[in-house]
Amino acid sequence: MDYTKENDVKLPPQLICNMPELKENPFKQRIAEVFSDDASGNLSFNDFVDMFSVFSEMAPRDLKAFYAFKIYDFNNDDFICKEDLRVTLNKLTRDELAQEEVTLVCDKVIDEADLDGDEKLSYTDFENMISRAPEFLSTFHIRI
Amino acid sequence: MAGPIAAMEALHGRACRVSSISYCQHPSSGCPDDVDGFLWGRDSQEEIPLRFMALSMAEKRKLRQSESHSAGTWDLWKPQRNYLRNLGTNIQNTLVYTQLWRGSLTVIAGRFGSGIQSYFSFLRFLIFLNLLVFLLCFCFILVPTIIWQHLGNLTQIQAPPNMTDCLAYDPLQRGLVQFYEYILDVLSGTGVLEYTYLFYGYYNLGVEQAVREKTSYQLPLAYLLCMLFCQLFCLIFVIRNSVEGFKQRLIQAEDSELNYSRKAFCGWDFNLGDKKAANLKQSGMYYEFVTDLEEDRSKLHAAGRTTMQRFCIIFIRLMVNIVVLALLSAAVALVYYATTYSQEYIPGSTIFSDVNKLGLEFVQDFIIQYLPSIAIGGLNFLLPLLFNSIMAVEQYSPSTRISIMLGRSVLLRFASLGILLYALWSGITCYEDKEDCSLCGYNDKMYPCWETRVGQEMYKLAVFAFFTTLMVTLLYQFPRKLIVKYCNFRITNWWGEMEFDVPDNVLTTVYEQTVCWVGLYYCPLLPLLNLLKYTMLFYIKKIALLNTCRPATRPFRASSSKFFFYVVLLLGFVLSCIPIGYTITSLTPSRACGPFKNDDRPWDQIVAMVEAFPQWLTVIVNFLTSQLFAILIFIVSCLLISYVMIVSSTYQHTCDLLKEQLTALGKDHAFLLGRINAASGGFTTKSSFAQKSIFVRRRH
Repeated sequence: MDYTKENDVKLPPQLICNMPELKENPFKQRIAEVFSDDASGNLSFNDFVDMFSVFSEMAPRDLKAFYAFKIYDFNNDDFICKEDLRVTLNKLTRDELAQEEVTLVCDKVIDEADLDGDEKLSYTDFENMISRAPEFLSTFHIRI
Repeated sequence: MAGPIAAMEALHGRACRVSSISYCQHPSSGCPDDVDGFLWGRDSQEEIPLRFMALSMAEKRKLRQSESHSAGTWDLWKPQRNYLRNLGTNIQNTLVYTQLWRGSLTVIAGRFGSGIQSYFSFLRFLIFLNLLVFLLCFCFILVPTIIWQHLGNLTQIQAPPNMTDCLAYDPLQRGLVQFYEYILDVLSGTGVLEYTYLFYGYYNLGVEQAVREKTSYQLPLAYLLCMLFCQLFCLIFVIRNSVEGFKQRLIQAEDSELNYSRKAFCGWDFNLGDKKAANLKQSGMYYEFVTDLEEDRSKLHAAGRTTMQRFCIIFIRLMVNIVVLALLSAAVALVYYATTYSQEYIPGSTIFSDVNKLGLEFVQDFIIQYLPSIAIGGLNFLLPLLFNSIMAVEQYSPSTRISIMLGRSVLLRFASLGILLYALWSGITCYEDKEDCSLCGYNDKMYPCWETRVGQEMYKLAVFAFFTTLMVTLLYQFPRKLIVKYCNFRITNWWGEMEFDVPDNVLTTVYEQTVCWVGLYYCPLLPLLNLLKYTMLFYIKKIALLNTCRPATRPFRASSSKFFFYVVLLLGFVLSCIPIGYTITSLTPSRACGPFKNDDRPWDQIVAMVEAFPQWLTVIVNFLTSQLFAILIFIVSCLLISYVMIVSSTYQHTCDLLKEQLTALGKDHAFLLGRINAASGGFTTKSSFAQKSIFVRRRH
């Protein structure tokens, strides 16, 4: 398979999710979907390189924030709404948090980060929040 | 604003003009360790490298091809600019690899988190500090002393002629010595070690008999200036390294409102590839959310108290604080009496009549010599446990609880050290009985060379602290791990392996460093001792951590920890300046030993030096030390501070305005997109979001 000539070779998401770098990541399926062309999780070589380029040390904050927003937006509606947050929290804590606690935390997140008062986070809200979090650059980073 | 029009162009699939795409001077090149990175200003003229843009690979290739077609002659120069910039970045990247112990710190961070790793970086920082201070003392005090002593052309300092009675000091005459006394000497700095380079009393050589007439190396002056310079140097070094921690803390304090969002979106470390570590991280995140919710709940509860309940709580807290103060005073009194008893004890005299056997005499001598250190060590261990158990009554929220706990521990440690110094001082200057000091200005019968005695006390504190840590590691941590590993009872499983307690370890380390700073003047080689001690501690603690500890269930936040470490360190430094300042300016130096035999106070050396300056310099120095200048400086500082405060409040105001603007911009976006969607019949491409973000970042 010569991927430089044929750009059509694609890896299925199962293979991507079994990579050692992504195996323990709760968002691995979502990462594969975001970086693929058709949101199916099949990554071509170019997409694969894009993915690791964004996760590398040298990628600037804006680029990482852009893709982080896409990853956390589970229903692809260009907003992070309460449902997206609920899924995120459940993935982060392995479903250990009780449902009322999850709801409480989601409400608090929306309270903190939502600037325009529409009960969901737009990209601007998200970027503004990220700009005030210095640890974002070191956590949104995969070392290869 | 040209923005909305460009947005419309982008959304209809037309590529934006690419004339400004090229490589540029990017302020911080996205380096993740740069705290200032997220404070970039972005003006519309700024050019963005192609690889920083959020497009897929195919689109980037297309853009690059179209750009290379339009390259002009100026573009031929660009690779060279890049080369220099890349060289700089490469050098910086390589230098990171040369940091000492980088591998160990990475391993620790990977297995135990960045909170514990920050403690080890702090230890490394202190090692460098001690190394630099030792090098300073070595170059300016030790080397000249050694060289000229061997060359023999240094004059001995003579004490003033009317004080010959104070000169009775003979550390070298020991008589018949039991073998165990050598061990005692090494552990407490007496005997064999007393009249050596280790202590102040040895440096009693004076002015170099110079070949040249005017300039000669005056050791006493050099000793004094070197000590003062070391203090100043330490202050500057610590502040310089703490600036980054302060910056992060200021920003974090401002944004404690973003607590939950940051945990949700920046909490997961994408680097984790190990199953156990990932499970731990998920448990850690769960625990963090639960703690935060509990904190909020207790704040709500506190806000909902009735007035009666509030009075009750305040009364209880007052009572508890009184109890804590009483315990602290009892502790302090205990240390005072231990020190006084230990100072007045003469080695070799028996307390109990039938302690004449060899071994017991040695043990008795040892214990009484080390009585202050034992008292301080025991109190530092027991009292925090007591405080912790009392705290439950006060009903603080969890984070306040931690702060108050730490505050009380810090107070305990510095108070016990302070009272030890006070006890020594009252013995030396005959605070109680003025008669003994009338002859020489200090208690010459008990302390013929009092600076060396003080140095010995500091030496003993340092050695004892090190041995305590060693014993605890060997005799408690490793057996605990073995028991937990091989005995499978329920109680051992509940007890578990030890957790590495970062605040406790930091306080101990800062306390040891404060002892080093206080003792520097009396024992110039104390930084060397500290350096060796910290190096060994690094390896011992690292091995103990990696083999016997389990990861903390309560993660210690690294971003606030640097601030905490440096604040306590600076507090220790400020407290250590007091004894040194007082000694140099007010206490009579020993007549029997040391470089200041001939002076009323060590400060007289500097006065003499200033008087020996040329006339114009003396005038300037006199002006700088006059009261007029002090008042002027005070007024100017007040003006500067008020100016800086005004500027910072203006920035805060501007920040708030920009936040509102950002909100308005977001609303504009949403509105325009809605209109465009409506106008184009609801057709939105998948990549509309990508192109929308291009618009946000390349406004031209």
